[in-house]
Amino acid sequence: MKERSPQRNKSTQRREPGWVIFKDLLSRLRDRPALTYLVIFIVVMTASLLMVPAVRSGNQTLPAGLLLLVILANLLSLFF
Amino acid sequence: MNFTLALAPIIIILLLMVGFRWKASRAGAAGYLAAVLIAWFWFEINLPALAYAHAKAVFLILDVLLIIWTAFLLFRVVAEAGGIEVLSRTLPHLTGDKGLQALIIAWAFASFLQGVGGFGVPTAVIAPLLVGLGFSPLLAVVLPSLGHTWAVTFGSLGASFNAMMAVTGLDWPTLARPAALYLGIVGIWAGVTVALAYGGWKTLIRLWLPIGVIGLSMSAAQYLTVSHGFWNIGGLMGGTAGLLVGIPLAWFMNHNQEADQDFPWRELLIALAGYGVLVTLTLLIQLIPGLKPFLNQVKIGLDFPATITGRGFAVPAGPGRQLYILSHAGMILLLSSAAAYLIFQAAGWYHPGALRRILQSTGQRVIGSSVSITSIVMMAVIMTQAGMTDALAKGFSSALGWFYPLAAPWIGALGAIMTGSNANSNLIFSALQMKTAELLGLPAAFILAAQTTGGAIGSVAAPTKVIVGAITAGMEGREGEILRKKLPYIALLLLITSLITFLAVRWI
Repeated sequence: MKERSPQRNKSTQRREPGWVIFKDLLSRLRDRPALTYLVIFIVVMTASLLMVPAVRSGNQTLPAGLLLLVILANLLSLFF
Repeated sequence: MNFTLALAPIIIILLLMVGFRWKASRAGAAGYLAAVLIAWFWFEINLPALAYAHAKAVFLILDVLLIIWTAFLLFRVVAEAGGIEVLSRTLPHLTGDKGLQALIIAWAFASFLQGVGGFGVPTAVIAPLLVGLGFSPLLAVVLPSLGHTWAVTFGSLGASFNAMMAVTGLDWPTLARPAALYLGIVGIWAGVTVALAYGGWKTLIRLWLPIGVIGLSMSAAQYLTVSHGFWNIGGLMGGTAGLLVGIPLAWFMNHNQEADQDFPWRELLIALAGYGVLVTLTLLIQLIPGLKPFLNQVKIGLDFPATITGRGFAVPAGPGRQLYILSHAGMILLLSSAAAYLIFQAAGWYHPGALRRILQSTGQRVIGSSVSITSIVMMAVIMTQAGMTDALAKGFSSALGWFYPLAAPWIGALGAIMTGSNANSNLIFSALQMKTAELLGLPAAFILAAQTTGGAIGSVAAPTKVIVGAITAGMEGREGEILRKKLPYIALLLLITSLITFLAVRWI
């Protein structure tokens, strides 16, 4: 049997913890769906509302960051 | 290509909910993400326009959710005290005639429950009750589902109607009368379908008089209520009128004398107290001169500047949805909930820990649907701001032309079947229906009435509601059977709505 190269093992070890942490976090959140929904709801509503002053400030990064936050919250909803 | 891509977020939601049985919160998020991507890459919306769309959506969402949260709170306040059980125990006392029981309980009482609660409550409460009265489980699910269709739009304290007003920006004087007219006609036919589903043509012919009298009373009560601005209690008043007319009629036609002595009048009045407070407060705010303008001084809202996409689609500057907090239907419901709680507490109807259970169950029940409504409304507003709704409307108007009025209720029904609610269907399709009507030169109010009537009818065929009905009647795994029994009647009600719409846009 062909032995795995040390380099490949190293990269697998590096990737695995991140994925495991994400899965663990998801399963913890799934145990508390109401709380998770509440957090998603508050994040989406607050970030959306803050987009108006952010755009009016003339800054491009701030509204883009808030939009990203809303998108990420919706991405999280996909797992519930 | 514009049309196909503009339709994609809606198709994604429908496909995920029906094909893959995703919950509305998941499917709504997928629809939102698709709308953002398509609006950005194909319809060339810019960052400020996208940001303003999100902020506009926040006010629409709050407007819709304030009613949903507080309507469910009021229902839980009454249910925790055993008020719904009292109503359920009382009604079978009235008549021994099974056909009349079907009409009073599965039509009038189901409409009343839809008026005050909604959210699948009519079938969930009535199905076990009918099984207990000797109806087959299949009929126990199907009858209340058909019976309350017409009360969905102005039921749940007007949540679905409010959703339509919020998305279109049109006010109640424009939208309420046509919607109440369509729903009123469908309401009488809903009674016909209950009778037909229960006992076929024989029962229909035998009970034509109560169907006519109860149906006309409920439809007239709803029409008169909403056409005077009380759209949040239209369903409630319709259902109440049905009970007020139906109960004496049942006594007169087939009096159940054995049960006479036990009739729990006092309990019945206490059980209905919360809804009495709701009606009183709503009337006071509308009728006391100067009170509403005074309360309307407290408002929340923003003005939005004009935006234009890279493809040249312009949205003019203007105010977004304004929230009049103190006169909002949600505030009236909140006060009614508090008053009802105090009444039940004073009457000693609560067990220890009731308040905690009420708040906990309300929070758990509404938070999931709040997330789904949030993503669906945001999707709808982004589509409007990016010109996607405009592209869809152009596609539909050129494809269907003058036959569009026939299709309008089926679009509403499709949205409700797929998303599980009349309110969601209105949020997704109302702007599209309005835009298409404008392009075809048709009166938007009639097309939107078709949208919400179709949505109300379609909502009872939504898989989620069918599953809830099946569980409460002990028919798990036999959902297909329930749907097969319901579908011909739903198709009949939709055909009637198509016909009404076609005639209305031609001759009114």
